[in-house]
Amino acid sequence: MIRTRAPHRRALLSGIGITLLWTALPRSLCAAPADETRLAYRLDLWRTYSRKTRNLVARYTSKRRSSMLVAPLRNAGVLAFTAPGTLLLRDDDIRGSTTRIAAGRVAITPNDAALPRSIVHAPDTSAGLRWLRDHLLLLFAPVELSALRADCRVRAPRGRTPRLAFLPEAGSVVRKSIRSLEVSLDPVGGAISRVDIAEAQGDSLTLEFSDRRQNVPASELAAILQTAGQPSVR
Amino acid sequence: MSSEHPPDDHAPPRDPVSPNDHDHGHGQTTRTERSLPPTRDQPKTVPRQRAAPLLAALWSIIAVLAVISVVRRPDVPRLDGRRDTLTPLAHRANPAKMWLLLRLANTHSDALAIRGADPSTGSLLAAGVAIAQALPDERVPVAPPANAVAGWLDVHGLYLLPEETHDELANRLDPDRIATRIQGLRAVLSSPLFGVSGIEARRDPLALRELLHAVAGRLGHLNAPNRDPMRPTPTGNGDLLAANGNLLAVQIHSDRSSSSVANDARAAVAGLGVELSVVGPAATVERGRAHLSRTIGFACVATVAAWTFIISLASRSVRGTLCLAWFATGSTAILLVVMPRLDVFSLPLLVTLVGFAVALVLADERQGRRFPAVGLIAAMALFPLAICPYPVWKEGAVWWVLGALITLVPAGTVVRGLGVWVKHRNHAARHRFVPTPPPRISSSIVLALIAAGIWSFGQLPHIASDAVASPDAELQSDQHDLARWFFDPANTVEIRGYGDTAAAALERAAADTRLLAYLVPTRAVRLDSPGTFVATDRELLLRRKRLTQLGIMEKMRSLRLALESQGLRPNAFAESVAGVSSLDATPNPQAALDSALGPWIRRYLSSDKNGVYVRSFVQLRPGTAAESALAADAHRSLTAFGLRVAGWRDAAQLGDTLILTLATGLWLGAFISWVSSRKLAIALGLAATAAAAAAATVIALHLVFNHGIGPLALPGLLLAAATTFFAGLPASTAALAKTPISVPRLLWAVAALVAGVLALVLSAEPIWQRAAVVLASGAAIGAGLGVFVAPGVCLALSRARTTGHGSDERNRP
Repeated sequence: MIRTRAPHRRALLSGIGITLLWTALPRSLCAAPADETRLAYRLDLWRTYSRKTRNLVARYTSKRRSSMLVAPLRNAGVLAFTAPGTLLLRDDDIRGSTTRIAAGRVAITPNDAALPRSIVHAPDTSAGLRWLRDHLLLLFAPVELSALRADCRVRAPRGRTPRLAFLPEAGSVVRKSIRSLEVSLDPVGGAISRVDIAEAQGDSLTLEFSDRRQNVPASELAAILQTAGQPSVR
Repeated sequence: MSSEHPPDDHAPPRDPVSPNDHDHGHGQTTRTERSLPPTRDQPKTVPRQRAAPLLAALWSIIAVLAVISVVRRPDVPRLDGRRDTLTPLAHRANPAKMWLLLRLANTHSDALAIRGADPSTGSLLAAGVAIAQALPDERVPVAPPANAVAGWLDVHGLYLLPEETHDELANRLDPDRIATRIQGLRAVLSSPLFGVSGIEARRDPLALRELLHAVAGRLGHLNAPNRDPMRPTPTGNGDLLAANGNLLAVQIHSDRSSSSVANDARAAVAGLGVELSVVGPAATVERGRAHLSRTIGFACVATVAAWTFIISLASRSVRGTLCLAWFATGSTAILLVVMPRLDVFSLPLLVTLVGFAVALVLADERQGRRFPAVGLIAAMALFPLAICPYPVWKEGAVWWVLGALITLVPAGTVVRGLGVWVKHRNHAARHRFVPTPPPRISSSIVLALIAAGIWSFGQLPHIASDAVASPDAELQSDQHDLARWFFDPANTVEIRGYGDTAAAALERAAADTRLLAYLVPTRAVRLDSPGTFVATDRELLLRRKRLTQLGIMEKMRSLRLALESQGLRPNAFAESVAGVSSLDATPNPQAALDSALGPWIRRYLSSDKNGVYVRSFVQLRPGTAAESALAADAHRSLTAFGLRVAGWRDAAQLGDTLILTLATGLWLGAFISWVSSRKLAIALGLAATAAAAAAATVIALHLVFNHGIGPLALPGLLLAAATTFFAGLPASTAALAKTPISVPRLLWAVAALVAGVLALVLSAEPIWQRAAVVLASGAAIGAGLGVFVAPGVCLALSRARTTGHGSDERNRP
């Protein structure tokens, strides 16, 4: 009896093993190349648009979700970017604010000049601020892919919309303030259509872009920047 | 030691330094000796003649072994690289404390170009974390944990606000100001960078913590962001990040060598694109030891060459030069082998001692009757250093006397014995004359020099014992970076607040830091003390009263209304509101010890026989003198330590130390001179001239070398006095006895001493160069005054004494 049943058991176990290998192995071997391919495709897509950017003007709508707010805070405004390192986001509402990144410095000022200005940390002393500042700039700048991928892990989440997720390195102090920065790209042109910032405390901010104009005349851009740089008086 | 008889007018003058009264080492007696009546010393001459070559042979064997030992087996562990041994032990930097300086390696990328002038410091911060993980027991956070400080300030921030900010606090709690502030908060919420901007909306919606910027520098490592752009900031890990973002300072406490710690740290940060260097006492000692082992050989060779050169000029004899040069070389090697510890201050003393032995032999070749006296003067030359407060000089004084036993005592016999072996015959010294400088002019010179020396001493700047930097260029650069971007450890003053218990000591530290708070920011960069985080009982009473008057509970209702009006949820700010409105939780010492700050505070706690104490650190600005922090009457109760404090105290006591040490040296020299000559005029005259020589050395430092004065000058001044006695005793005795002596030979002898010391100027060690200048000046001036001025002064004193006795006798009925 034993002699006759042993070959059957061995054959059964071998069959199960081969089946498992057949189902699991190809996936594990093929998954990484698929992710990498998708990431490479999306990075190329991003590069298609950004490499032509000398400056950029766009409209945006923002939505902040926070435990401090009774309801999400919505705003609309204008974004102006000048390569390589100037970025300005100005809310249209006088109750909103203007965020300006220039020469490595960061300023957040209320649009209403009567309101007190809060003190923002120097980027050198805040790893989170430095990381987010750099990556917001790099998203719009005509830089090499290696620069975009520095200081972070880049993922290409699945889905129909081409997206790129930038995550701070494991063990980095940046993770104490930023969880992820996710960017949605226009499937055709590669322009950035949406930015999602997930903060470590649970707050999040979404920026959706429209009316993008690449490489506008310098005079027009200067006018936008000048207007945006001046606080309003209610 | 033979006594000098007074000159007899009826007898022919006796020549104590006659060229013919000396044995030439061949067992032959000279014509003069045969003609003289036998003395008590004569029977001992023959055994001495036989003993000298044997002793010289034995000495040479020992010297050869010593030279081989020095050349073949340099005993590196005996080399001590410390450069702070002039400073009292309590004021020296903790040798276990060191700083790892992490720099960004030179990299260039698009990302850096985008960021403009600000390179990334992410890798620096990561390196700091990696080191903390690799050296968990040795790495010490510089700043208190950020979360612990934030938690403590959330609850006790209002109590810690200084009184001068209370008016501004009342303004900020005005209902209209509260409404405006909350509108501003809502406005910046829309920014994508709000979450990382450092605006702590939940913890501090009214931005009351900005008021603490008034005490920036006085409250640990809290900075005022817009006012102190150059100050380092603590990282979340507790290290210090330089304002330029390119440098990170990590504090290490370890008993291991700095190179061992550096190797471990380098392994931890490998691949992060970060360069690492070590600064601290341990690194200084290790670099100093390496530098000493590199330079000491050249310094010794240069010194021996200088001696040989002068000896050859003085003796005009190849065999005589060989004998004495070999003696100098052998003595140097024996001393190098015998000394248990050889530091940077040892070599100048060693060279001076051997130089004295060479000078003694050169001077004695024709003037043997003074040998015991001048030998004793040389042996006691730097012994007065034993009473000065500088540890290394105290130790050096003892070793000077022991070294004198090894070199000065056998010098004459060994050189004579060597002369026998090489069949060297001494020749009579030429140019013998009686030194008779004009007494009045000599006395005037002495008085003028002493007066000018006292004036010059008041003009000379004080040079602290730690003023000589390490000669290692790399270490100097690292120390400069640490001082520029973080703070200068040498400018840190440690204040100890004692108490019976830890809480009492902490309260005392709090009181001490309040006394010192006025120094920040003009004279001090920072007060680093756990005492800054607690309030004293008196402060608590006053501030509670003031805060109660503000009606904070009512103000919090206005805040709630303002939050609701802007679409914000008041409950999200409940923790902050509770912290502000509750005055029951006070920042007293015991609460601080029990809080999350406790482990950090305990690192500042120590104990000794006086009780428990808390260490507080004042980081003085460069150029700020310690007395500005500590000299005020109100601050005399502060127990302060540190290099600057030691320098300040040294500057205050240097005059007393100098007078006491010099007086001891003068007394010793005068006593030996009196015992040798039995003439008070010689003893007093030489003492006065020696004082003038010391004063002249001070003048030379002031006017010629534009040098300051400090502990390093002390041996030079003593040497000036000693060489005055050394050269002046034979000259003065000859002047009073009217017997000719060979003055050039005496000057050549001192020239050998000066040349040996001066050869150290060629070395690459700044301390040796400075010491060489001071010692050579002192020796040259002392010898010059001893030969050309001291006899005149002695003559003047002798005549005055004689005149006094004569007039007494005339007045006697």
